[in-house]
Amino acid sequence: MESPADLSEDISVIVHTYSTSVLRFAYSYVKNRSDSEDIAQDVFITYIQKAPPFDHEMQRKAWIMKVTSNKCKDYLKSSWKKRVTSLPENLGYLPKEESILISYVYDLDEKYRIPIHLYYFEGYSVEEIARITGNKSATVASWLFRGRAMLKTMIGDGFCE
Amino acid sequence: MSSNPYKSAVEHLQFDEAFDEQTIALMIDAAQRKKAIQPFRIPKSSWRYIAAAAVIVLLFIAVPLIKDPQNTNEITTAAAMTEAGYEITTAAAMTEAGYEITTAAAMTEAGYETTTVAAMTAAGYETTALTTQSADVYSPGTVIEDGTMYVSSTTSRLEPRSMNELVNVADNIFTGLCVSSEPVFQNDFLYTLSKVQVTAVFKGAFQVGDIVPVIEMGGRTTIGEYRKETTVEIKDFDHYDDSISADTKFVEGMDGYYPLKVDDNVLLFAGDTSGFLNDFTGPLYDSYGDYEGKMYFKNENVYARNTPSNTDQITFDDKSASISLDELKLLIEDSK
Repeated sequence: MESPADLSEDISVIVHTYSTSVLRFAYSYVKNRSDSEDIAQDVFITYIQKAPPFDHEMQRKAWIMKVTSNKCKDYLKSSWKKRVTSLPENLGYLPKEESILISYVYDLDEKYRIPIHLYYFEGYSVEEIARITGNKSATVASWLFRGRAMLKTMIGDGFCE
Repeated sequence: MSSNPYKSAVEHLQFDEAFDEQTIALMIDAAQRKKAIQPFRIPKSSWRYIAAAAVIVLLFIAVPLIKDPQNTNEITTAAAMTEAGYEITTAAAMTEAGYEITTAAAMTEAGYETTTVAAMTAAGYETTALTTQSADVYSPGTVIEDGTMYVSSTTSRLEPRSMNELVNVADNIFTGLCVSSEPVFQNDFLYTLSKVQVTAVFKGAFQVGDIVPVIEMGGRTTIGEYRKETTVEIKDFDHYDDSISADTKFVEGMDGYYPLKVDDNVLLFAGDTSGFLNDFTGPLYDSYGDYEGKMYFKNENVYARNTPSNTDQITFDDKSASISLDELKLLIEDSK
């Protein structure tokens, strides 16, 4: 059995390795830093509880991203969330171009926004996004296509060259 | 500009130091104690809203004492709630539940002209609560009828989707008959997983006879199960009525609308929400806007949104949004 010190070290490595992805993926769902951090903590607590074995790191990351997606959906559907309105995030610390770009992407409907985030930020393939979000590949491909088309309408070709 | 400006922008998003070693140690501790993860969660108990409703009741009880009692055209919410069978929670119970009675007092001093919405807003709640309303109109809160406790919370939705919007946004539009319905608990919340057998398809890939799993918020269970499976930090049951037993039927809805039950004949504007339930594999759907995308059979080929109610009886009134299936087909055609 793993000693508490070993467990802590292992978890610390996992958290530091994946926290960037988890936080930003959660943020793409809930569009709020504070809520993203809560969800990310919840994701890692679930990871520690389940301690699932993985053959490859890619599997581990895919599992973590899938759990993040589920927890974000739970949060967005929760009666708590439905009763409160989050304050809009202040992205003023970002360069103006980036702030505008983020706001355009995050104004998209969730079904377009999430595949775009996973594709362009995480570099996942359509098939991988389909597994994480629990949709069909063709559906994800269609959402990506439409999402890109919408962004192109808003910001021209500057989204991804 | 980089070749992937989105990635660059997202990388620059700033988060607090959420994962220092101390936080990680706390997470490990919370995980190992399993049930002790509350420090990382915002309290989500819907019961606080019941207590908030009681504050409003207290507020409006005083109104008739001050205002002209002959003004019968205005029925206060307190009167409506009382007529609807609400019990009035005592100030002591409210204080115990953590709510400040001073808010009500201050508003009372301000001249008693505050509407329910304003009162709840002042109390820090987002609400669509109606202001003055007749006794037969839904008010958020709790009511016990025929041995069943009905609880309906209030959401922050202010603008319901129009029929045109529903037609445009829904990937699947179909009528169907609910053939099964069961409560599901996940992450401290009660949901209902129903199976709807399709009887006619107007949009989407379903076929007549298909069984469509539909998830909705709220549900039907017992108070004992609800207490066990959800986090009820404030024991409002005890404030409300100590005599309520664990096997009392419990029905939770939102905004006066309740989840599907067996034999319900409905028109659904549904979207794919597969993966939402941790323990349910396969496709899963929900109705758009929760209750807006669900209409009940009214007569012949007409479906209508039921009147919000304090119980889950399906009724309609003159204001109920309704649509015939012929009109629906035309709307769908126009939307293409």
